[in-house]
Amino acid sequence: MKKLSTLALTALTLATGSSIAQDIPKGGELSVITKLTDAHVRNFNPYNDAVGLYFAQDFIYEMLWIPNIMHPDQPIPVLATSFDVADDLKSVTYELRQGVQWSDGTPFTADDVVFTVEYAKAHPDYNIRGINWYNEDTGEGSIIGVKKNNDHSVTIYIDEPNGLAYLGLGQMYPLPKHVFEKIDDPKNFRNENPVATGPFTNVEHFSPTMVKVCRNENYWQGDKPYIDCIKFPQYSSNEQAQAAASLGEVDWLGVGLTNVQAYSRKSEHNKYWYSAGGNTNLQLNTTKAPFNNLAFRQAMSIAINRQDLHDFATFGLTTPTKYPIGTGEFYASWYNEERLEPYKYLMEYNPELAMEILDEAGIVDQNGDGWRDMPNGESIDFKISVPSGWTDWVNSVMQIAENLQDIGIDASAHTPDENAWFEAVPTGDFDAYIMWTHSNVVPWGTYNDLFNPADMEPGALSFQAMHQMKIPAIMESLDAFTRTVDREEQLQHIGDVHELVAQNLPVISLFANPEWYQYNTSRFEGWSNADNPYVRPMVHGGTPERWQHVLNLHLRSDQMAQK
Amino acid sequence: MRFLLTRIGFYLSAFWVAITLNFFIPRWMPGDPATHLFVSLRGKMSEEALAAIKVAYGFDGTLWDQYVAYLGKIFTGDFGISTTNFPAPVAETLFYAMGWTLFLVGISISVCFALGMLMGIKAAWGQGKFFDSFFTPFNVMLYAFSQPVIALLLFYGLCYQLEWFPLGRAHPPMVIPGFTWEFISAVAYHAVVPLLTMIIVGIGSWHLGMRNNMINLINQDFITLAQAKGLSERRVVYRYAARNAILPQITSLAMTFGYVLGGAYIVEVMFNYPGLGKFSLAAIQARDYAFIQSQLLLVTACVLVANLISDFANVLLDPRLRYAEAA
Amino acid sequence: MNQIDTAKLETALNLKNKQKFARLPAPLRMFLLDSKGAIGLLMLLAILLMSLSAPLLSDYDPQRRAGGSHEPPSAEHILGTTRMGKDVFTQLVYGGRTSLLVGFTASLLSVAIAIVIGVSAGYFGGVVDELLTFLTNVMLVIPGLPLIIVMASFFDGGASPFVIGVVFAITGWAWSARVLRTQTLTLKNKEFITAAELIGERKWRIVLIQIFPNMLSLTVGGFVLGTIYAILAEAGLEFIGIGDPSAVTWGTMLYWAQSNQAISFGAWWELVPPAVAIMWTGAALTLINFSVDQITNPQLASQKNQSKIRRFLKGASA
Repeated sequence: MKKLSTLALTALTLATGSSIAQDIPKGGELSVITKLTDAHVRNFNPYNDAVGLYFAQDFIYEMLWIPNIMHPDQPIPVLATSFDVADDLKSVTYELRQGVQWSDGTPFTADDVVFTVEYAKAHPDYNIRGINWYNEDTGEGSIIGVKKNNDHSVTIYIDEPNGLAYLGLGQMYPLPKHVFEKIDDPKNFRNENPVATGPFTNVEHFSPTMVKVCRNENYWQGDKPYIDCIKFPQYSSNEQAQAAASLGEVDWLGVGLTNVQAYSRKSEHNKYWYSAGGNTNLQLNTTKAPFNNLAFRQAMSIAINRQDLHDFATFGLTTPTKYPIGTGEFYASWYNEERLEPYKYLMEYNPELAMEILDEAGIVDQNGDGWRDMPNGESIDFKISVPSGWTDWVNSVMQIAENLQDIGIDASAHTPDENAWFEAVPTGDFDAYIMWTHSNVVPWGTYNDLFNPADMEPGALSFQAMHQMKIPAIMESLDAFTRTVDREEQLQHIGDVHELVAQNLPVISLFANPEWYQYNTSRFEGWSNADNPYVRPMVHGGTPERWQHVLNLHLRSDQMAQK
Repeated sequence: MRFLLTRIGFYLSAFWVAITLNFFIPRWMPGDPATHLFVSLRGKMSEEALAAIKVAYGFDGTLWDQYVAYLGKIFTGDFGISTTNFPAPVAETLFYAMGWTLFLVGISISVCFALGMLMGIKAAWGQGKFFDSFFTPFNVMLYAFSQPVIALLLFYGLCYQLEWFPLGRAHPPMVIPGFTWEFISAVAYHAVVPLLTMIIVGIGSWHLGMRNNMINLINQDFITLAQAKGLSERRVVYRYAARNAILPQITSLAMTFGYVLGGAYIVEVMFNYPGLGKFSLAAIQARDYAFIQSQLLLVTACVLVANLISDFANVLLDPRLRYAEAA
Repeated sequence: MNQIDTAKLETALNLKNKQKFARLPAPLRMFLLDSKGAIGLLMLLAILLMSLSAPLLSDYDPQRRAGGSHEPPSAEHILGTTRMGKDVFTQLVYGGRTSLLVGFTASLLSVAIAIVIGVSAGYFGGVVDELLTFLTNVMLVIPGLPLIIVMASFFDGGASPFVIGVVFAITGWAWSARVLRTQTLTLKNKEFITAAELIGERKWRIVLIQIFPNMLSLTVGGFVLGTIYAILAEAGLEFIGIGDPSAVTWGTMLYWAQSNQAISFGAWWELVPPAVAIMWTGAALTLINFSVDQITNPQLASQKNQSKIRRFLKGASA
């Protein structure tokens, strides 16, 4: 058996290590914005995608194992203390933490985990994160069984060898068996008074404008959490949340605040840290002209002024992408600079070269309308779509259209309503569109989403693979990636993928979106920031590391002294 | 009597057509609630989960089945389940938002109406004098300055730069609603700038309407008669002229109140005010069919009732119309 | 009381000025002699002229970057640049073209629909009236915002300014139609209509030649008000993010100023010009409407009337 979990020990000491040294002040109410909403609705169901994500996950319900995306070698063990991936890569065994109690005093055991896994099978309409049972009819999903080894050990079996399966499985939030076994319709269960293992379980106040959840008296980490309560004031718009953040009304949030100068000027305690998130790409419809032409795609990539995109369209807050591989700084540790060097020119703004490439490929103006046409005389005119409300991307697309017009390509921005956009893209009804990529612990998931041919069928509801360029060699490398847990081998496979993407350019890499994160240092300290980047710092749902983050926060020591 | 019955029958059928459209129009919009959730989570949701959500939202049966169920529910007062706040019932947020809208829009209309009446009377009485030639065009121009412009300027001036007033919402989040001085004063304080915006923009039409009605009346015989009887100026102005000039204005007031439940989109969005305009805009964007159709149902009912009232009022006030209608 | 009373107008005019524009018809003379109307018309002409001559006034492209981010007003950029580096003045004059055109077209269309429906309902009565009034009442309660989104989805360009304009026209005629119907009902029983009917005049001729001209000023008033409404509503919709952000109009300028936080950068020049343009146009149309109102209803302006009130007041206070 390969012991992946030895790393866990270091991680745990790292997390708690700093706290032992000094006397940490206790108390305080932390004010956070996890989601912009018009009114809070009382619902603490951890698997309710509309609401649970924002309050219930991480603060109230805990995961087995949190992958630390910023430091993949320092994962965060929570309800599991270690795990083993079997040699055949077909099962994962989790050792569960002992001495953990649900907030009502019932002990947390392997029965709860087994129950959760089986509950997912019994209620396929209830979206239990990380748990996808194998379905014979569709061939989707992977879990084929679950076994309790003893009160604190569980093994989960999957259908095919997969060295990455532990990543998904560990991200389940176990449910309290003694509560949920009585619930027949979990998707409609509002769970108004949650029974959970997390640091904050006691709902002290609930109104449409404010939710206050306070400490779990039975929490398993003796001195944590340091703070008493988390407050969720309701804000519904970006502008309002920004204004509140500027005035120091909120401690921790992540809104699209782009005027960082004005924000910082208001108070020395107004801090932010925008690390590079997932990459943003242009997806081209490679099933039709002109995007089925490689020279055209190359010219497009070269014609885009990425410096202007950074400086103007995205307010200087994005991180320009270095290589034309669909991913960026987020996965910088996976780059093979030597292999990627020959493709770097595709990312450098050079309209003359772009025009040269087009001229050589015979893409010139044939009918005298001032715009270039395909070699067969077919005229080129296309639209790059972006939902009308996504302002920084609307800015970007408008600028890209300008850049393309400058080299004689008749491109324009198309800004439909978000839902109309959503209906059009997965059915293949588009020319080009701007799109994010998914961020994972390893790049495998990101590339699998981008190139899985199953997602390229119109109607498959994918936004990642709608460029529809099937590159079998990429899928082979990705499959090989899952058959190993060896880092060097994985690097080799990803290097192959990178090169294949750069050669084919099915997507055009633009920039890495900022991970929005603002925090206020007037009341609390212990923040993850550029100086001490111990976890991804965002507060919104889908960032399980916020569990670690919130447990590290405490009142400022100097404030304590004043009291 | 026959006239009355035809009118009511007529309004009932208009009501039916309107609620039918209210059902179908949201569903004609591109997208649906489940896919909206998928987009708003920016892909942090798997496609399997999306399929599960679609089942969970329970759009069972054909559109026709859903329509029949919807008609049935109207009469039982069941507004259905909101998908934005799944699985909370629509009524929960609908009535919450309705309270704030009635408060905000109700007060602004009343203030506009009262101030507009007084200024209109004064302007008509001193027609052509300074008050009339300055304030009449000025107030009407304020309307044309438009809500977004005034709201933006007041928000950045009074709330953001000077910090005299809060940045938005109806009351501070931790103030618990109740009949306490703390709550009432907080609500009043938070309502100042939103109300100011609506009043600045809203006063002009009432002012102008009242002024014009007054001027038309002043020429009529019964005013001359009142004057001839030697009644005091005050008495003539308020008892005779204003009292009669106000009647058509009250009809307009009824119509305006009919639309109250539409909410005040711009002010509510700008000031994060938890009213129906803000909620319905969010519901439209999220394709929350149950919420959209429930709110539209309320608006439809109110507007039709207001129409009915104004129809009857018109007929009662103008006998010529009564004959025309009967013919 | 909304039809033009030429006799009253003449009286009012005689009191004002006997000679000027003597050859013009009374309503037009009244309009030109009224200072409010004249100022409004001048203001409107100024902004129209500015928008029409947009390409002459600026060499920049309203859609493209013309300078750095938030450059303050200078000789090069009269009204500075936006956060995206676009020239504000250029956007203002080109945006005016779209905003004004949409306003006028939407209003014109909606008045046309209102006339057809309102007058037909009023004049023909019976089943026609029942049906049309029914339609009017339904239109009054149809939700505008979802309808705009639904209709915009049928057009390729999304909720472009013109789609918004068309939707306003389609949804906005109901109020005017109600008023026009009532007005027609009143006119229908007048002697000159009855006379025309008695001599066997065709119905459509009666409508076209007898009824419609009598409602012209009412229609003009409706058109002016409709234009104000359409311009403001278009700007409002774009401001809350329903419109097409890549179009250049005064509404989208406000939208971008707001969503790019111009004010927090101190870049008032991104927000103030479109705001002033909207206010200016609103003010111009309001003033015009005042004059039109006075033509429809001469008592509102007549000097005779004023002196009558004054006399009356004296008498009352005596």
